[in-house]
Amino acid sequence: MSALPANINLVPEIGRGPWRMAWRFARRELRGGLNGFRIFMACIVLGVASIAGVGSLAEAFRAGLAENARALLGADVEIRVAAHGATDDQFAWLRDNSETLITVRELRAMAYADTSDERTLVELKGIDPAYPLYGAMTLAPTMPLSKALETREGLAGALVEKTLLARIGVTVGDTVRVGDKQIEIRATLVREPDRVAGAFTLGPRLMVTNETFDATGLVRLGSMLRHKYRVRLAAGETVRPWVERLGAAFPGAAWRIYDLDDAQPSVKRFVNRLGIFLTLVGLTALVIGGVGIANAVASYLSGRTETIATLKCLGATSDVIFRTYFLEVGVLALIGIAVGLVLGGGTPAVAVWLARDALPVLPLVSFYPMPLIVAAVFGILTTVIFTLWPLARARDIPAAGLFRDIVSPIRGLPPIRYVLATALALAMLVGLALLTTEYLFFARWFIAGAAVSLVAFWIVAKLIVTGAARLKRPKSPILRLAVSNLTRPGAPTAGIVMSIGASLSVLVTVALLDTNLSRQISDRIPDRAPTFFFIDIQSDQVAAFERIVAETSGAELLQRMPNLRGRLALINGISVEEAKFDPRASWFVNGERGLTYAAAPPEGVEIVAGAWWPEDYSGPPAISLDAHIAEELGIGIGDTLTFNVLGRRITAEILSLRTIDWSRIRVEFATIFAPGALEGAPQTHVAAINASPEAEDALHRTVTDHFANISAVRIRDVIETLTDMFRRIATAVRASASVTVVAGLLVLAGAVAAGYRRRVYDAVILKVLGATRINVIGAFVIEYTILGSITALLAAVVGTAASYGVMYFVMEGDWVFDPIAVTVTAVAGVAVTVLLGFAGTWKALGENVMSVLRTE
Amino acid sequence: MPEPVELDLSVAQLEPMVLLEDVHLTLESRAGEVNILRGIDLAIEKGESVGVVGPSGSGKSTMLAVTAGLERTSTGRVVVAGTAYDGLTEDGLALFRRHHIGIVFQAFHLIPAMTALENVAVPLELSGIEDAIERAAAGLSAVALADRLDHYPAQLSGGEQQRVALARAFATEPALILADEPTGNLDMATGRQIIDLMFEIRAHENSTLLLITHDPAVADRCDRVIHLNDGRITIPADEAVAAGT
Repeated sequence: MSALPANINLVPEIGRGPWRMAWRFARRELRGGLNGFRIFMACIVLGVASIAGVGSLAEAFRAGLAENARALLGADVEIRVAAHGATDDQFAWLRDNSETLITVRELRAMAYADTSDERTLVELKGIDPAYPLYGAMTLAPTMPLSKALETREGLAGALVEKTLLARIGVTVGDTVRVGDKQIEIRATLVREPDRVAGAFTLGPRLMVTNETFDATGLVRLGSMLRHKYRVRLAAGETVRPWVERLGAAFPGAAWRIYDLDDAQPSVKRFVNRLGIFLTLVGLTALVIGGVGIANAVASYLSGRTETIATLKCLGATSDVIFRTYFLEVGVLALIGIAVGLVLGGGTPAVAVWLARDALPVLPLVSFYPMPLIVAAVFGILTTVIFTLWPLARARDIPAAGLFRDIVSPIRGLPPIRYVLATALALAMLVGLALLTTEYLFFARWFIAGAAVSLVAFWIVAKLIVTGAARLKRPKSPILRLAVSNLTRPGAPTAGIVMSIGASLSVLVTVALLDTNLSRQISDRIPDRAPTFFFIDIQSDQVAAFERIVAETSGAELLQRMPNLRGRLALINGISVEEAKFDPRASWFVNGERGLTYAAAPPEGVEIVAGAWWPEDYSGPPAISLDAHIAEELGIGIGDTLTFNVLGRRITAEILSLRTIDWSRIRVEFATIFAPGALEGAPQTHVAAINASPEAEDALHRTVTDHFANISAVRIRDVIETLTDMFRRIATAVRASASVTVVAGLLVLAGAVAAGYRRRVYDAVILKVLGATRINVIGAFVIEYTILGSITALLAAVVGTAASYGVMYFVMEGDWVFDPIAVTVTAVAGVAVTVLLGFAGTWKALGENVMSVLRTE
Repeated sequence: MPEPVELDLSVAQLEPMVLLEDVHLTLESRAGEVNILRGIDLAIEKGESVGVVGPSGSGKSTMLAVTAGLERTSTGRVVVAGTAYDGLTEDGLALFRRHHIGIVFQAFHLIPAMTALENVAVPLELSGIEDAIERAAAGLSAVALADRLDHYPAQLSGGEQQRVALARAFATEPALILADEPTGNLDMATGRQIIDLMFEIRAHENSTLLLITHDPAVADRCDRVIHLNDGRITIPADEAVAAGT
């Protein structure tokens, strides 16, 4: 033996690269491959990819919207006017104060095929030669726009959406009649720059020049015509001052002004809604993934207790232990984060590839560094939060257990500095989530909900352990084993309950969302719906129209109501620009609304406040209003709304409030005037008609043959279009939510895998003692059924609450509780958990007894 | 951080290598207190080999763990190589073990993710020794495993694993070797080889040895044997024989 040195310095040796030594040990452990870390890596990849994907896609949509804003608006500024359009003075001002001014007009009309007797509703659009001001048209076959629309030998040209060709059996080169005008189809519209792809429309597009538009004879008093004046500003001119000058020139004008910020608000709403939903998906994947990470690390370290104890016997300090396994976990986490960033960063490209035609605006495929940085930080913080405690506990594993061959993991809190570090990382994660989201309301609720849920599951786990410990000792050894597995020291009951709970909550949430979305689709088809709406019936055509309906066998007039257009100007005397109201009423406040009048309440009306006026009412203007809108506007009986109807302001007092079921397909108006206010204004009529299948085509043909200006909307077509739209939305929701389902299943698998080693040992010992396979599997099944069933109850509550929140606040739809979906999902989730473990235990039963005992 | 301890060598050279004074160890359990060690008094001189025998549950392994600084005593004093344990933190004890104690277990307890060479190198690396790998290779050669350097524990037989464990225990030339039934998991022939090897290296290094064994033949090879029963050292075995009890 070498002589003892003169002075023995027992101070720990520092400055010799403790991290280098720890890295050396970590590298040796990592050589063994990813055994025990597959689920860890998968959870990190999924969580980071979700956040990175959500962020990149949102940025890509915003960039796409910004790049296409001018093309989508079709102008620097657009002024929308209904009915008769701008006055001569207004038009002159617009023309004199812009570099270029074009007029675009839109109207619903009927198009009749000359080669067959077919006809269909179209969205007729009239344009000026300078259209489009921004963006580019794509026609098939390719040709200049002017060539497509020019008049040749008296025949005007038109562009149509491809769907129109199939609908009425025509091709390019055929002629159709619109109103009084014969038009030749010169090409199909592949891309219309100012039209949102996939948006809901009643009919295919038919585009002509404004001259041709006028020649159709469909521009009549009261027609539901929309004028859009599109302005390209002069060089150096900016929007705000220009709009202010316009407002000063024509105060109180009955128009709406749109600039680039307002380009296609429906698209912005779509991007917004999508962003909220995807943010929730990303955060859910991250939280669920975090639970999976915690399980995986705890499980891995519990398998390393002997190694850690051995290292301590050999002189490794707690810090060496911590650093070694911190580095191991850290390196794998960084690799997982890198993979997640690559996958997430590619999301915009994947979205374009998969859903190009269904997207209202194409996301701009590019590299967006900020969302990736944020996702990486999320990944690092999540890893730190969910691994610090297991790592901190590992450093305190008692090495003395090696002398008893029973090294047990440490329970209880780790040293305070690790508790504080975890709390700090958690605070940073929450702060980052709140700082980087645009949807603070939803993020806050999600974080609160997630925290409460996880704590609730932890409490349930403790209750299960306490309850099981207090049970009278069962006589059956298998049952006793099952119950004692819940309470034994070091049992990962809390981890398993939180994993099962988190996973089942996600599955229940997605299941309820799915059934509610499906219900949205199926509920669009009411039991009784009219066959047609006929719109743009002129007042002098009403009598003849009703006679045709009456004379058509199998046809029945359900409703006919006058229809005027007006724009809300004042709420209780305050202009709508300054009034405060619930944003959900924006659709009513902004833009033109349909108005009608009636002496008697329409059939099926439900008055919930106030009273309907007498049939011979002759008092000041009065209205009956939709009760929901009244609530959202913060008004009630006795308050006033002022509408601008064709330049005339009418202030009406609210005399009654009605509940309106907008899902019913019937002629409904949010605002009904009492007699006396609107009769003299230019108006058209809208009628709902029921027709037997035999009478349907005949009625359609007869009415549209007699009245070129009356458009027929087949409700069946509308329902199909809406159903298709909802199906696409439901598919997108399911696809996005599948990320969380995958995360949930991974965590379930991880929770089951966590106990695998112990199950192998138990199985082997029981086998040695004479237990059959059924006995062994029975113990496991009982244990996990107890855990799963109790946890499933709480998960059902959590999932139900989450699905309500998403359906009501994010999708702004109705929510219905479906007990069957919840029960089936919860039971299936528990069954999957038990099956996964069953498979593992069955495998364990196949292990060679002596090889296991020798290892132990 | 523990304070550096300056030792007076002259005193250190006279002190026993291991000194246990009235050591008690009581553990709490759900069933109540369990007295594992009930007043152990033991002094082992430098270079001495002491065998520990006794029935199962007598506290032999616990006494070894206390000596290694892996278990804290409830009362009493433990001094090894002139260092009193009660002044040291857990990390301080770990640091002390690096330089002064080698442990051989019945179950070998090699690190499965490391090769034989790396297993032996660990205590050298922990001690910050630069040529740890070379020294480890030399250690394995000394136990006739030069051709097994890159083998993992799972690829070694029981005897080979224990030889690796021996090489690891002696790698830093510790003053004290603690062995807990090192042949318990081996067949007789292999066990004898291991014991021979252990005593050979011990003699070469002049290490102090505290060895738990059930094998009387192994115990006889020690300088003396103590008998542990129910947490107490009863009369040393050779004295019991001499007294005819």
